[in-house]
Amino acid sequence: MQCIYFNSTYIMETQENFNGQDSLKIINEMIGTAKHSIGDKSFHYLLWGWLVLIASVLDYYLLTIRQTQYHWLPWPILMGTGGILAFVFLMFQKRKETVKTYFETFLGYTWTSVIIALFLTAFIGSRFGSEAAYPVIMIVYGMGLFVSGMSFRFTPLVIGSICCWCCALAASFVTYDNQLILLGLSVLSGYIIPGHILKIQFKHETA
Amino acid sequence: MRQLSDLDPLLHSQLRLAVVSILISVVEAEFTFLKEKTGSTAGNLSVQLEKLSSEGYISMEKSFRNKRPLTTCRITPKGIVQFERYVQALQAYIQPGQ
Repeated sequence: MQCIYFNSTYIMETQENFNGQDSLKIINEMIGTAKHSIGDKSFHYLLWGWLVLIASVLDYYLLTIRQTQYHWLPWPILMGTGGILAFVFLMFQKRKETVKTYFETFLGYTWTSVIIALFLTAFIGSRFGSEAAYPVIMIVYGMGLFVSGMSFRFTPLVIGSICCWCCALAASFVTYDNQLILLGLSVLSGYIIPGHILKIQFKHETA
Repeated sequence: MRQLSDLDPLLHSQLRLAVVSILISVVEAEFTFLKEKTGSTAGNLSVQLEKLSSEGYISMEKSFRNKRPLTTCRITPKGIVQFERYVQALQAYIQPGQ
């Protein structure tokens, strides 16, 4: 007779005369096995964190030191590159995926809505001035970080989201060049630091 | 008092119950994922999935990825109802006074 292995117990593959406790054990173990760990979700946080940090530093440098009117150029170049890299990574991940969980689906919808809100804010900013748009951008991606952090109970993301909201509040009182510094600070605390912590945590989990 | 024989015979089988327990907690799962998590053989898993599918407990979508066959399984509304009934019946069997 064939056997299958459930964590610590051998059981018969199609054995039907098992008792109620066995049934409950199978249900618990199988539901538990489907809840997989956070996994290495650091890629997107690190990608976008570093790209936004580099873009805001370059923008600040070109605006205040080089004083060129094309100070905004790093944004379309780096954000476009980020979009392509993120898309390729997602497609690669999708091919390896053998299960789709409710949790991942929920987070996917959350970040899709964040991305749409960011595009709309950037568009509104192009009409009414970036100075008005940057605080809103920080509020919106702070929301995405807060939902993600609370959902997978990862405190660094929650702290990062609060830092983003504080930076957004401060950004509403300062000029555009200083907003760039706050934007850099917000991605450092909200994306880069939690992203590196996530990566280290994942390495420990899989070691 | 309830007896084990009152339990849905389609679900009261270790492999089929394991498959439905996994599918109730995810949106969808591929054949390879179910095989890995249950530790079952491909042949036996295939037979049990067909049984669940023919009774309408799960739906199976067959496609191809990189020229290789791909089977994706989802629990159906009927499957969810039957699983809930099974768990209720199980609880009544284990704790008859409650």
